This record gives sequence, C-alpha cells and structure tokens, in this order.
Amino acid sequence: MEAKEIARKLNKAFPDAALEAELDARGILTIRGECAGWEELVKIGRRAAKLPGVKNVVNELSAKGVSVPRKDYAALRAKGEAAGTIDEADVVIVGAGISGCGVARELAKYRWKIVVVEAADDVAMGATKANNGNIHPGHAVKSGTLKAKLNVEGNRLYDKWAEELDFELQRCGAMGFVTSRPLGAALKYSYRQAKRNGVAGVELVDAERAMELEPGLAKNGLGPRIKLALWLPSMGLVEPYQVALALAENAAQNGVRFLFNATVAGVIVENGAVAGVVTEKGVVRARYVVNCAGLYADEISAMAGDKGYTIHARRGVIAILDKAAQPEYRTLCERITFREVRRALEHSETKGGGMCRTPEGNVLMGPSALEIPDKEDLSTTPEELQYAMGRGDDTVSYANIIRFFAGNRPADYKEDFIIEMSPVTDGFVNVGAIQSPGLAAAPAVARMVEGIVTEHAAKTGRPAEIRADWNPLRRRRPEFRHMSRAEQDALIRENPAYGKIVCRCECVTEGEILDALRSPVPPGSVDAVKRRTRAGMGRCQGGFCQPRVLEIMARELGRKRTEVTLKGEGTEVLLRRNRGEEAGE
Amino acid sequence: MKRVSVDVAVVGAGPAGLAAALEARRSGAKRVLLIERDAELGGILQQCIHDGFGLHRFGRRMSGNQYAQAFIDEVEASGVEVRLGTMALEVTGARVIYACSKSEGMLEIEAGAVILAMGCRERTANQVLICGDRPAGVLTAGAVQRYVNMEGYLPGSRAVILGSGDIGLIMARRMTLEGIEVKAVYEVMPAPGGLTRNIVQCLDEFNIPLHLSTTVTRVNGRKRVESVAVARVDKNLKPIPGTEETVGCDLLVLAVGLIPENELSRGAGVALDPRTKGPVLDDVFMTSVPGVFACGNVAVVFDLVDYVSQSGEIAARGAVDFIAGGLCRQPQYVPVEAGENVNFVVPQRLRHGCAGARLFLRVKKPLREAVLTCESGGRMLMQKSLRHLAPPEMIAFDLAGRIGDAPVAVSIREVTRE
Amino acid sequence: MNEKQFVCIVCPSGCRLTVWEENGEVKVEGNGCKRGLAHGIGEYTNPMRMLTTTVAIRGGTQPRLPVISSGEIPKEKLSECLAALYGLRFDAPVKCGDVICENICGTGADVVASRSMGRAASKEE
Repeated sequence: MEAKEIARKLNKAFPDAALEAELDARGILTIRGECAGWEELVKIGRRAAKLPGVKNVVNELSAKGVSVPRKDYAALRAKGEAAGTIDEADVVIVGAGISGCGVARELAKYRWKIVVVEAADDVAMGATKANNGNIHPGHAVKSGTLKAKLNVEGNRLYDKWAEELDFELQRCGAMGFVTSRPLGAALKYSYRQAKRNGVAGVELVDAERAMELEPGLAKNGLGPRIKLALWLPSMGLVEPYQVALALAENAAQNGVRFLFNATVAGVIVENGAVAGVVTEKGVVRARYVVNCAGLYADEISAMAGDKGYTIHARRGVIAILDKAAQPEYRTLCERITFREVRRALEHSETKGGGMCRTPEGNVLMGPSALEIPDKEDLSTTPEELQYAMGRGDDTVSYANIIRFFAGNRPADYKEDFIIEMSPVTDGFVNVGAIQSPGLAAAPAVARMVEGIVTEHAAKTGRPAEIRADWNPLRRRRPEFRHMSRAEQDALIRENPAYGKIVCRCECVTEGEILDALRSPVPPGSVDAVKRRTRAGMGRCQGGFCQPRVLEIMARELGRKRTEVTLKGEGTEVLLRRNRGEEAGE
Repeated sequence: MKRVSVDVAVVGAGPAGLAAALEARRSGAKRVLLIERDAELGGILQQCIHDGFGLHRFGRRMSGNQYAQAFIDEVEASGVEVRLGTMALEVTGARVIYACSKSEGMLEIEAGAVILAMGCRERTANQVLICGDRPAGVLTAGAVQRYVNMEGYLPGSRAVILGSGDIGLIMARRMTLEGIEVKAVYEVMPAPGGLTRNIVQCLDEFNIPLHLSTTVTRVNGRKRVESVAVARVDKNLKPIPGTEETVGCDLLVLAVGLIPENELSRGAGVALDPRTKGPVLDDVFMTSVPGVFACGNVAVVFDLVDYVSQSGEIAARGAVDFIAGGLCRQPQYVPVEAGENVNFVVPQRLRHGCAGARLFLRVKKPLREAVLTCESGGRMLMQKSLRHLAPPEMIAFDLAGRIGDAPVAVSIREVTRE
Repeated sequence: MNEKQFVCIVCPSGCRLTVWEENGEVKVEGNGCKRGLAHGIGEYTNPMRMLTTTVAIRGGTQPRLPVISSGEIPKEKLSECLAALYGLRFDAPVKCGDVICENICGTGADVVASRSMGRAASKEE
C-alpha cells in the first residue's frame, strides 16, 4: 500500500484526526499530524501497523491536550561531551534491564571490553523490575512472530540459566480450564497455537488429569466441573530483578563494567558506522552499540540515525499480597470464563496478567495494562489497582495487600520484538520493544544478539575470540531464611553477622546485607539493597528495617546518613540532623 | 545448636515483656528468660521521649523512657535472664523457641511456658491504598519517631500527617519543635483518633489544623514527595469527587493504625481473633495453645502502657500457674460476648469456674453517659456507670465472682437524659 | 477584658472553656467540674508544660539522650529552654535522673536524663 492510500485510510477510520503518512523503502511508516487524544493516537499507531507493507510505525502524531514529556538530551549531551572520553570499549550496551544484562553476560565470554551504561542507579529498574516474573510457555503469542520463536526458545533455555547463575526458577506449570463446554474452543485454539509455536509438553486434559496435576482443584470443588483444561508444564516463575542481578553479577565477574546514572544522550556515528555513545557522564567509544534501552530504545535508535519504531509506555500496576494469604493453587491455574475470553479478544495486546505468585510465596495480582503518554509516569491509580485486583478469585482481599506499584512496558505498534543490526548504522544493534514475554525470551534474545554481533565481527575480519578464563557460573549468596536451623547455626558460627536479623518480616540478616554491599554489582540505595536481600519487602515495608539498613549502608559505604538514598539521586531519606547537632557526622 | 531449658520464656522486652518477666519471677518461676531482638531493653518506649506514661501505675507523668527504665532497673535486679540481640524466629506449639544471635548462634529454647510479647507494627501507605508516585518522604510515624528521637535526623522540612491517633499527634508536636513545618493532620474518620489532651497540646497549641473526614488520596513527586492530594470522604469513607486539593509537602507521615505482630503466634498454631488481630485469650491470657500466653500489643492494641504492663502480669501469673500444674491443660471455656456498643472484649473467653478476670474493651462509638453490664445465664454479674466513652480509649475493669458455664455478655447501654 | 478559649484536658469530655478577667478576678465559663475551673484559671494566668526533648551524647549506645523536666515549666519559656538544651553536649554513661541542666532558664525546674545510657562497647557491638 502506498503512503497516500494509507493516510486516506487512516483519516477515514479516524475522522477526528488530521494525519499524513510517509513510507520508506524498508516499510517504516511515519505518521504525522494531530489526533483527538492519547487513546486515539495509540489506536492509529496500531491500526497503521496492521496495514500490508508496513514493517513498523514511527508515530509522530500529537494528541490534543496531551503533552508528552521529553528528556533534555541536549543538556545531558553537552555535559557528557564536556567530560570527554571516559572509556573505550568493544561493545557498549545501553540499558541494564533483563535484555541488557542478558546480552552483557552472553558477550562476556569473548575477549571484548564491554561496558553497560544505564540511566538509573541499578540494574532492572525499568520494565524488568515491575514484571510478574512469569516465564511464559509461549502458547499465547501469535505464531510466526519473532516473539513466538524467542519466547519458546527462551523458556527452554531458562533451566540452563538458572543452573549456571543459581537463581530461583520454579517450573510450576500453568493450567487454564473451562467449566462450560463451549468455551473449550478457546482452549483448543490455544492448544493449536502452542503446538505451532513448539511449546514443550502442552496437552489438553480432562477433569481427572487436571485434578491430578493441580490438587487445589479437588479441594475447592471446581475440579469435577472441569470440561476441558490446557496444561502447560513449562510455565515458570522467577523474581525478575534477581535474574537480571544474577546476569549482571556474572557479567561483572567476567570483566563487564557497569556505568550507572549515565543516561545516553547521543550516539556517535562515523562514516555510517557506530563509534560510541555520549552519556551524561562522558563519552564511551565502542565498535558496537547494543540498544537495550527499553522505553527509550526508539529514542536511542533515532540518535543513531535509525528512526524505525516508536515506543509508548504501557503501564501495569501490580499488587503483592501478604504471605499469610496463601495461593490456592500450586500451579498457575486460571478458570477461563466468557469474560476472560472476551477480554482477550478485545484487547489482544493489553489485557494484562492475572493472579500468580512470586517464588517466595507471595500472591501477586496483575499487572493491569494502560497506554500512557509519559514514559516516566509510574504512578498508580485506584482504577488500575482495582483492575489488577479484580482478576483474582474471591479469596483475594485488599486487606492482604502489602505493596503495589507500577511499571511501564515498552510497546511498539507492531507488537513484536525488534532485534537486528541496523540497516542504517553499521554496528548498531537494536533490541527494541522487548515487553511481555521479554523476560521469558531473554536467554534467546541474548543468544540472538550474540549471533548478530559475532557474525558481524567475523565478516568484518575481527572475529570474536572466547576468553580462556570465562566463568559462566555465579553462586547465590547465603539466604538465611531458606536454611534449616542447623545450617543457620553453622552460618552464624562462621560469621556472626548472620546472627543479627535486620528485616524481621523477611528474616534478612546483617550478613546478607553486608554480602550484597560487597557483591560484584553493589547496591547504591536502600531499594537496591531490598531487591538483593528482600530487606524491606515484607509486610511492614521497611518500617522496622529501613533505619537499620540505612545505618549499615552509611557505615559500609563511608557515607553520611543524609547521603544514603531510597532509590538514587534526589531521594535521600534523611534531609538533615536535629536542631543543635553539628552539620554532618 | 545451643539448647537452653527454662521455666518461662518471654519473647520481646517492651513494656509487656518486661512486666511479664518480672511478674513471673515474683510469682516464683526459677528460670525466666527474656529475649529481645534489639541491643537494649524497653522496646518502642525508648523512642517515646514524650510524657504522659505511667499515670495509673506510678501516679506521675513520666516519659516513655522513664517508664521503661523503671522496669528495666527492676528486671536487672530480679534475676531474670536477659538475652539481647536475640531474635525469635519460630515458636512451636510444643513451646520450643528457635532464636538466634550474633554471639550464640541458633538457640533452641525449651520453655515450660511461653509468653508472647512481640508488640505491633504500623500500617503503611500501601495498606491504606494511597495511590500515586512512590517517592522518598513517605514514612510511618514510628519510623519518623525513631529517626528524630533516637538517631537525631529529620526526614523532611514540610510534613503532612495522615491519621489523628496519638502517635500522629505526638509526632506533629515533636516535628514542629524540631523545625519541621507541619502543614496539617488529616483524619479519614469523622472523629479524632487520639486523646483530646493530645489534640489540644500537640495541634491546637501549635496552630496545626486537623481536618476530619478527609484523607490523602495520592502522593505526587517522582523523587521526593512534592505534594499530596487530599479529599473529603463520604459516610463510606470514599473520597468525594470534586473535593480534591493539593497540599505541598516533602514528607507524608502515616499514623494509620497498628497491627499486632502475630507471625510467630500463627506459626505456633495460635488461634487469632479477626477483630483484635491478636490471639484468642482466656482469663489468664493463655492462647488456644496450652502453655503459650500473650500480652501487650501483640494481644490487642492497647491505648495505655499501664494496661500493657498489667496484661503482662496477668499472663505471667498464668504462665507460672501453668508450669506448676495449677491450670487445667484442656480447660472448658465460656465465651465473652461483645454486646451492644462493644467492639471487642479481651480476653475473649473465660475458664469455667475461674474467679473473675480483668477485662479490656473498646466501644464502637462515643458515648457521653452509659452503663456497663456483664450478664451470664440471666444473672447480672456486674453493673457500672461510665462517662465520656470513646473508641480510642480502652475500658478496663475487673469482673469479680465465679464464672459459671453460661456465656458472659458485656454490653454498654447509652443513658440518655433530656 | 481579655477573653480566651480553651479546650479542657483534665478528662476526656473536652469541655470548651471561656476564661476572662473581671475586676482582678479570673472567671471561667463552660467547665463541667471543679478541676476544669482550676485548669481554666491555670491556663489563663500561667500555662505550664512538661518539657521533653533529646540532647546530643557522645560515646553512648545511642546518639541522642532523651531528657525531661523535673516538673512543669512556664509555657512561654519552652523555646528558650529548648534552645539552651540544644547547645549542650554530654558524655556517656548517664543514669536515669541525672541532672542535665539545673534550674533551666531560671524556671526552678531541672532537666534530667529520662533513661540510663551506657557507653557503646565499640563501633559495632
């Protein structure tokens, strides 16, 4: 379809909008103009992406009454350029989420100097952190897409990752069941798609087998009413930030450097090839730049001269429940109702997640799904919380909520992953639009990027060489709460710091906090300690342990207490000393 | 693993645990062990530097520290074995406690009787479903109290307080004196949660406004709190659209209630009362698990520390009786029913034939004049006139006389005069 | 005639008191009992408060030492007393009841330590 016709079609479908379209040789459709509102802007993007001949959509529409905040890249770039070249590397990875950390860990096996630059103060601070931790089997993704291929492949590779990196992976399995025969068609459709996608072990089962696989179904009386069930044994559960941390730590052990609080404000391109990035902290030169910038991947790609897609934020609110609220099922088990099916059909990209649990045993509700204009807007609303909570069963009560928060998924309009060496700028690799099931796909994404970069290196006469000293193994640090009493006793005797409980709710010891502070990718804020140790993650939300964690951090890091932050620069917990105390400590 | 065997083990050395340990010794228990996770005794009282404690017990107005010190000095002279820096990780139904410390590693403590005195924790912003951003500067009143009073640091410059319970009011004054501007206190309920005295002395005196039937609906600020949205609420406590206002501040202090900390109790198999969120107790404050007792704020959130100490002493006497074999291991109980205007009564049940008990209750609504009655099987056990009752203030009284096998109903009838 | 309003705090009923001076005599209206009368007169003529705060302490198990006045002090003197205390420095150990500041600002009340505090064993126990 030609640009003119596309524009005509879209203007017809959206009479309130006035838009123009431009289609380049690659099939990148750029839409400009104005439309009625944010919702319509997203709808137009989606509609455009479905038109024949459109590879992806750059949506530059403005929406009436909506201002889309932009980062002040010019100022950050000026700051970085003034600082000059601070590092020279073979590969720069932009973004330390699950994709960036996965790529870093995979490439760390080569004799390359690798630097990961991250805008936030820690790994996993974007979409990764606010993810429900499901390692999806790959049955829910449209067949034939890159997403489907990498989802299934990634799911399979997780066992190896979990073994080598020693993070908690629970292959709990998932079951969808129906209690009305006509709805069985929905399950059969999913089954066929799962088969096409190559999902391992998928089966359609009857009530008896369903109750065998999920004993909770017999207990709650739903089991005998089951007409058909879809069993997906490969569904897994992880703590997503733990996976990213494990990857980052293993990468760091193998020499990868992490540069935090370093927003990329420019990509250096020389003679059509990438030559590095300008971060707010200074210039890092490199032969390859891998763009794993999540919500900002489109902006980074544009900086590299390759404007090929637009990312918008799809916000999801997640609620974590008290461990006292025990999950009803051992597997991730969901009754598919007519409402569910309709929701899935109407909002194929945006229905969000349901009820599951974390590997530590908290029930997790959500996420919800709402397209928003501001990528940095991680606020929660009562409506989204309700959406997240509303998808559980009757046993779920608001009184059990211990924490709720939002995360933004980086969605493009094609709703598929974008993983390729840029056809515009040589050496610049896009890893864009990695949202659900990006966590499940991560190992496959990392491998794919490894392939792209090493092939390019080989073709350009500088083949990658494996490091002789590469160590793929990373061990988890002691987790006091999971040990037997005898093991705990032995651990304390070895190091008394494990005998002091700092976080009473999650049973986290001072020893574990010290271990985290001395780990290969050390935490710089109270929340970063929380993600590594669980201190403050329990029902009192740090009311008890935050002052204690803060004190340990100040002592260990040699900072004043007024310099310890909750979550990075500008989030100091304590502003100043009491009246009459000297300034400082 | 080090094994220790004691007569009475007390978990937690706040006011309840201190009183319980002391009373257990006084009542003749030989080996009384008091375990405390902190490095010192006293619990949360050590951050309560304000006065108003101990009027009932000591007849004078003491600060929380002074009240604690009085008990600490006695405990230190009493022969109670104290283990500081020791965290109880598990209590079993067979009265075995697993606790750890830096110096001793894991301890397995076998106790003739266990007294739970872990206190309570604060409800958080998440639990009251405040939406919006999640920046630095959202803290519970207790955390602010610790930072300001014990560590000497200020977590903000301009504060908004949600919740008019006594902790919120006390912190309003304390923050003001330390130079933090307290913009206002908001209370979702139509009546204040704290004592009139505290409203007068902590708010009025510093011109801090108290807004009733108003709540914080949203926090704004990506890094640090910049403002909060407040809105008036309707009868169902739901925000009324169109009443929202924005209040600039860099600190939101939450004083939105306390929850008994019963995770260890649950692990021991102790039955909990959904209303008090504490264990179901009998007249000697024994839980549903024989030999496991509970007192203080882990049993029910008290308003006065004097009552907390009393409850510790009741539990201690029960515990000593239990190890001496004076208590029936499987007692027959009669329930104590919360009747008209009564929100709950602790203890929730009494042993057949026991010779009375001390009861603690809260009313459902403010009552100017009322009559408290306890009836059992058509028999009036007691009757008492009371004035100026309000939900924040607990009513404590002794029910004398032998308890039969009929339920005891406790009611408070309003007396209306023209 | 300088009329003032107070909420009585001697009991939970919270009577609203109106207090004024008439011919050299202090009058109270709105009180429900004799204690309320006394409270109204006291608040009008010479309001008194307990003083509680913390002072810096060196080498103690905690960085701040809580203190309390031995009796009530005139309300108008509170800020002056607090300012005087903020300048002070003490060394552990301290016993509960130790006088921190005698006859503070001439109020006749002493300020005493409201807890005992030992010396910290080392930086970390």
